[in-house]
Amino acid sequence: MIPLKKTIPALAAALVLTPLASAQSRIMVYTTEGFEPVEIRGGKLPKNSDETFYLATQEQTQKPKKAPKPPKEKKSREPKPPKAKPTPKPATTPTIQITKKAAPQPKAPAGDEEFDDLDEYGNIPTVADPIEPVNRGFFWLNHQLYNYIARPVSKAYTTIFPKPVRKAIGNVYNNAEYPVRLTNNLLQGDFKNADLETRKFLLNSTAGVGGIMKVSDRFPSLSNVPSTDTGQTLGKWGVPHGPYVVLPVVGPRTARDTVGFAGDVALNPVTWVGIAVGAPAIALPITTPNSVNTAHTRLEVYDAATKDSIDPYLAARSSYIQYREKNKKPAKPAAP
Amino acid sequence: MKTLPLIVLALAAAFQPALASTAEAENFLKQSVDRVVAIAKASPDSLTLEKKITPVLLNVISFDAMTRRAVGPGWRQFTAPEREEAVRLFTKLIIRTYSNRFTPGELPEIDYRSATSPEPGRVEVNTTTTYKGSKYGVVYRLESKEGAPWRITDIVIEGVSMIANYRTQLDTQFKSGGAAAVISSLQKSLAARNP
Repeated sequence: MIPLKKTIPALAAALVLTPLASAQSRIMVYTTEGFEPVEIRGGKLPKNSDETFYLATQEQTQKPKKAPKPPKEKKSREPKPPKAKPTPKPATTPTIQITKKAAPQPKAPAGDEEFDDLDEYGNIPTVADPIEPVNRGFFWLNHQLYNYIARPVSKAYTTIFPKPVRKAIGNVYNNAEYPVRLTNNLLQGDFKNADLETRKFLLNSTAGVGGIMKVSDRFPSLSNVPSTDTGQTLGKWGVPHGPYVVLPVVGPRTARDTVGFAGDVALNPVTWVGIAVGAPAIALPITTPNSVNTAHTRLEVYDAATKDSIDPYLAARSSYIQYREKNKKPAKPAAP
Repeated sequence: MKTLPLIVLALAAAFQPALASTAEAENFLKQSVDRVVAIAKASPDSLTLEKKITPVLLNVISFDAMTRRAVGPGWRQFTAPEREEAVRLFTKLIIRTYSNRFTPGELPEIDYRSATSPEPGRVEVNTTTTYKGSKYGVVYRLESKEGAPWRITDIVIEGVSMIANYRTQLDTQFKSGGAAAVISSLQKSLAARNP
């Protein structure tokens, strides 16, 4: 009939039998050749069960073995096989083994005495914080700087400059940071995003008049290209976060992201201008308008993380790590 | 080949409940968000908003599940009155947090992108929310157990889960002084923000 040797294993991984479909012991599988009936063994599928059963093929159905030996280790776990002795079927009718697997996270309904959902957030990303007292000190210092310097400056700035002007300034700086994103995309082997970033840069630099207008936003393929940085590249290469640090003025980072931050500064064309004119410090007055321009948004993010928290330091740390984890790209050697 | 249409129908029927529940949860979310936005639109300040929005949010968010999960395994050691008090305080804190984040006259634009069901009774609705000119990826996690109405159990903004964030803070409190420390920290947090 049909060569199921290749098609069934793929199906076994994908096919999950729900209780709805389990009332009958006859199962139909969809193969490249169409729908075919298969026989199941290894037990019956219970009715009205919330549990998930996975189906796995028996490879020996293609090549029947000399003496059919029941697998020892699964004997006690599996339900009794149906009345008939499990005999190898002809090669044309595949046999499927039922394996009961624990549901990912069985949850107790709200209000039950047994709270099975308490470990829901047990695996939230965390980092080591060996210098917490020092970090708390810098966190306090930054908090004062944000509240007493950055906030009034940002307020005055947003009052003086209307939204379109602020947006245009932000666009120019964002466009100028193209080398940071391009280099990191290339270092991560993400050639698709490197290509999209290049298109964006060319379009905004020309049609957008030096990046003042973000013309690329009008093109769906270019409007949501994920940003990237050197910290993400290091993460992709398998470099761990390292300890958590709070840098004065700059704010929260991990050891990896601190190195990444230095990399981003080095890749920024503004730094090159400073070096070219023999005064690297010139980068500071060039980048300051951008810092002021984006302060409003960054302060809002800071407020969202800390304002209504119980412990602002812990809230900021957790937010930072979760945010960085969300943007993390999987490391090259995939974890088993 | 005659059986093919029947099998397709059978398979479709098997997946129907999952699809239906996802759509149901998404609809519930849309309606809830619309109600909240309408209230926000009519509220001149965050205090009025907090008052008006509270009865709506009590029927939209599962504050019980949120508090329990924000505390974590330590919840088992809470007595019944402590649990009740913790839920009451946490509810107040969350409602105040979200009321304070609204600036009168600035309303969010929500673009519902996709909804997935990671497991039966759970749905995650992905949205892009534009607020004050900035775009944020916001995921709403909803649950409905055993036919109960859908309720929001977490909101994840740009990858940052609200409950995970509180869990980090409340877990530290619990480890330092048990249920009393958790309740006291919630009380302090609310008192610090009382107008």
